[in-house]
Amino acid sequence: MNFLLMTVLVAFRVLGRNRMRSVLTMLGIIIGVGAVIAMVSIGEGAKAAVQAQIASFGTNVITILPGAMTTTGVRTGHGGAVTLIIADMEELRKIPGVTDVGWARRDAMQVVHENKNWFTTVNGVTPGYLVIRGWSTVSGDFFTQADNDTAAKVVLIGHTVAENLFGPGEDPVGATIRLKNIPFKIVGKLIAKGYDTRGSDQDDVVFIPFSTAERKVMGTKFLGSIGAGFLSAETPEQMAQIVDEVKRVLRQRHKLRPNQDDDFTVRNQLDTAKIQEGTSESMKLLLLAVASISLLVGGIGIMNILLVSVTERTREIGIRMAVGAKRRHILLQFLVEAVVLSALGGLIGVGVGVAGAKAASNIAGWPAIISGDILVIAFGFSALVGVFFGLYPANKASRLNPIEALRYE
Amino acid sequence: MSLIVCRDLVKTYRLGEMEVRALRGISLTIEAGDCVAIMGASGSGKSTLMNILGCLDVPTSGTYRLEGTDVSTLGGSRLAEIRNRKIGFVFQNFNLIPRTTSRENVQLPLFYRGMPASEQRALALRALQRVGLADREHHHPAQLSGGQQQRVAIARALVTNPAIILADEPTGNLDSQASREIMDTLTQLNLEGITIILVTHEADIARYAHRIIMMKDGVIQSDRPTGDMFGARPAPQETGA
Repeated sequence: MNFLLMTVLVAFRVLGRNRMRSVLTMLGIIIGVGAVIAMVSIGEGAKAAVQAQIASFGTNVITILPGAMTTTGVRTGHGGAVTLIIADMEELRKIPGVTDVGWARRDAMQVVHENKNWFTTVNGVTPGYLVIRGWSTVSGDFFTQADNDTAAKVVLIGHTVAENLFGPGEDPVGATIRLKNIPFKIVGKLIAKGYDTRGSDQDDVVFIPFSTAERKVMGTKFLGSIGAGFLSAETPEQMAQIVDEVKRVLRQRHKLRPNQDDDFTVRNQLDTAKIQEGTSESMKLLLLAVASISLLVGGIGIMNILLVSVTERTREIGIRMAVGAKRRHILLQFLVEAVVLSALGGLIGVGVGVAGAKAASNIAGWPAIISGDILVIAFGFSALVGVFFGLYPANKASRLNPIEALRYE
Repeated sequence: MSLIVCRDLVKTYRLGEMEVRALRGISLTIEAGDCVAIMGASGSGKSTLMNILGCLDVPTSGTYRLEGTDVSTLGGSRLAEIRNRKIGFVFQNFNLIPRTTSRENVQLPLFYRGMPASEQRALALRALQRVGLADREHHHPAQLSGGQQQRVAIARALVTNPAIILADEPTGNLDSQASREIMDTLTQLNLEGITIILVTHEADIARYAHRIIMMKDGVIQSDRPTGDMFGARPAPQETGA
């Protein structure tokens, strides 16, 4: 132990003598480790951001849209035909495992408050929808089932809309806004959810009861037709089964023959999440591969410099052997030098990586999650690179013949 | 028991197809406390003999007993231990580690014993005092004169309190003034009881020994007391150490 400690001290001194060379040798490892940490941290941050976005959609949500959708995303439902109605949704409520059911239809229009106005999306929704999509209010409260039944003129406003119609710090609850010149009383202001996975502002929205929308604001060709239906499952595991059941019930209710395509589309939130996570996983693997290659190159750099060093210091090795150094002493000395180089490079790389991740997240407005695990793994790996690439030069040094080494010019 | 007992040492090297017989049967006994010079022209085998006596190499055949231990069959690791404990080397080109202080150079053999650093320092300082360089402990070899460098090398050789100091052309790179100082230092150490083996081709240097072994073509040509060849040994001068 004592000997090892002294060997480490000697290695530091030897490397300190050729400071420029040592730093340049470490550069490969510094860049490799720094890249691993920065990339993984940014990747983790991106993943967390995506997960937060997905979670902001609600939990265990199954979405049902009228009209079929091809793989290219083109809707092929019959023009004007009504393919999804409230009665369908009431039937789906009976599927085991379904906890909430809601539906919505939307239109874009101007909303006016006193002398301010704002163009936004108006959603006619049932209270169940609000629960499924995980909305809550910062002030006021949701409208009720009774409001929906009576087509009450009440409205919940999103954060972005509130910002544009009301002054800062002003509580909009209790105020009146006009949609298509119809006055609506604001009963609640919603929490801010931010952007969804497709980059649109989820808070640029107002909600009114579904029946109010249908009867008083948007109008309808067929009473009871809905723009989208939503179900929430009790657990994520039940979702696939519920999706199958939804399809079966709807095909039956719509009287579709086996050779006919679905006239509706069912989306499982988990599938979206899996695709997103899969993308960020494969991205992370790719980045790790790139970073590993730069660590490998860094290791080869260390081996290269050590081989030069062994040749330059042949006489020194001979002297050390003459005064009683055994082969393992020489082996250890060069191995320790390699590990000190790579571990020091790794340590600097950790600093560079953390700084890089923070800088990148500041510039890109992208969160970076720096986990202790990756710091330890990257540092440990850099030390291993030192051992691996130091072995060959160290072994070469330890196999020198002392007589020839002493005579080396 | 004699310090060194060699019987029929033979050393053959292979140089490609050729077989070179560097030693062709050397038998030699050296007593503790002696000062012996090995002389001979280049190619006479004196360097090979020195390498074997210094445990840097092993003979092809024959036996070499050092303080009663047969070292001619030992492996590299055991030989390294013997070099560390029993032998001190002084080379023609000093062989100090560059950009390393005198004291650290002197400490080197102790380092490989795994001695605590404070103990290493104390012994190294004492050895530097013995060669009169206590005030040069922080100097690098490049900051020292040739004679001073060689005295650092001598300090390194004697820091382990070895049985033998092997000096291979110790004055070959020095002027006559520095040469005399180095030989006086070695003579002084010999007077203090350390066995010294000098390898040289200079008669002036060999005269400091008690006994001169002449080699030629891998065999001992003559082995006589110094007085028989050159008259009286030069008296050692005060080195101030």
